[in-house]
Amino acid sequence: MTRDEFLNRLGELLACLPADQVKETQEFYAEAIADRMEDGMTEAEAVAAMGTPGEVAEATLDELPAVPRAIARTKRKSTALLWALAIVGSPVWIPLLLAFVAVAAAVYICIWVLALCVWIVAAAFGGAGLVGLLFAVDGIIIGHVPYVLASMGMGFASIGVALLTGAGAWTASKQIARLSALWAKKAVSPFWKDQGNKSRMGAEAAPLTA
Amino acid sequence: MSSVKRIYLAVAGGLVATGLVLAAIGFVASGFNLAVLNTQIDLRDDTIILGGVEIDDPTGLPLIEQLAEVGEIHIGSATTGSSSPRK
Repeated sequence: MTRDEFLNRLGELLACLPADQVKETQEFYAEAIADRMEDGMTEAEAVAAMGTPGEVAEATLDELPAVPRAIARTKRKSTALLWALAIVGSPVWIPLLLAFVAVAAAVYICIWVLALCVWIVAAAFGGAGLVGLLFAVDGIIIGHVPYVLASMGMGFASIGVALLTGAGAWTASKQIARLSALWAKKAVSPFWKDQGNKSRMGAEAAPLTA
Repeated sequence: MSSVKRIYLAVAGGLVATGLVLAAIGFVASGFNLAVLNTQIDLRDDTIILGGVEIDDPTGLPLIEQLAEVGEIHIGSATTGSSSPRK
């Protein structure tokens, strides 16, 4: 089998995928074959080293996230079947999709509410500190020295605790931002795979017979 | 840890320590009277007690004067000056 035959067959088997994804996969395998030919293999040997187009197409589909993979496999059997399932199954999959989106959003919001709570505690300490200092001023006006000292002390201590809590809140917010990014990535993983993982797709499929 | 963060934490810790020391001095100066740590503002009967000392007139005291005014809610037209609820 020549390189062009391999790539054309691969394109036919992956016709269920978007055109740009098919082109990307074909380009990857064209480059992999060219690399092997540069290493001294003949064209036939290099193509054979990739595996059969069917195996490569299956490996490519296996690398897709769950939902696009199911759509692609169904579309490969029949586009009409895909549409029929989409329409007939809509009373099931649309509510499920909405529920999934709602749960994902709720978890995302809950994660940030945790950070907000720490900031609220910090702000509360800060407010209490300022009130303590105002009470100290009141103590000065009425001439109650022990009360001035006690109020000023509680004011300073509260402001100090607010600053410490604020530092903790900042650190917690940074960690929560990381956590929420991980969660967002996890939540969309059944539908979408980032470019870094996508580029591995072919790389993992290529050593099939290498 | 960066120097800015170190200074920030030192300031915060210093404020807490200073505050605790000042509060302790105030407590000792009051003759170990726990009431010195209390501030009571009761808007129902206009009782204002700062560190165990009752204040008759809060006029001129920052924050307390404003809080005392919250207890008076006027309902009615400004021209009549009525303080009774309109029925």
